[in-house]
Amino acid sequence: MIVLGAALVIVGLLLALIAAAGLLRLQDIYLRVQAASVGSLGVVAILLASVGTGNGRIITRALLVATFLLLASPVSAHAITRAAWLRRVKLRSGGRWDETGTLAKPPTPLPSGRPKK
Amino acid sequence: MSEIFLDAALLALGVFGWSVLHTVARDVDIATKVLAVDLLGVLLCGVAALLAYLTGSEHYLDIGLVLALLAFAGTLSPAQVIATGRLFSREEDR
Repeated sequence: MIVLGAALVIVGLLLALIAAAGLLRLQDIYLRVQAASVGSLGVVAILLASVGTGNGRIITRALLVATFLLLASPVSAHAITRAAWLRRVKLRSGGRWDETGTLAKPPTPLPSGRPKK
Repeated sequence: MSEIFLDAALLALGVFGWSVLHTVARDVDIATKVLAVDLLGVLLCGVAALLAYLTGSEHYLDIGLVLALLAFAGTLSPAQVIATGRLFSREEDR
């Protein structure tokens, strides 16, 4: 069990390294969101490494946090990418891979701060 | 898991968190900044888990759970503000 825990910590650290390097190296938000999702998978691996401690209370809480992270990280990644897409953040390729063509159109106007009469 | 190994893992997570903080400070795109802050919160959750294994106390994982919840809320609300300009939609927007 100790060996399994150490191996899971190493796997989690490798995934976190991939996330940090991807956030530095990749160019636009649509590519970087992939790296950030890998980072939360790495933290889930570190949380699963609690089997190496053999402490039942630590394992229970770590599984709770891991479940929440697995549910929350796709939702937040989708929300931030959708926000960038609605504001028409440019692709690194300059529109060559914009299959739907919506990134070339102007963004939806922001609602004005003043309520309409 | 030995103490030296967990210390080295904590140091590595700190280095990765520092590079993510560099992205937060230097990037010009607001959505990328929000994404990097989210990743920073999740990495701090991993730091809390490693501290729990190091000390044998389960209370650090409560800190980790709160950090994960705050990272989730702290990503969804700026995403909504970036997308629509408002945190809550009103009747006249529809």
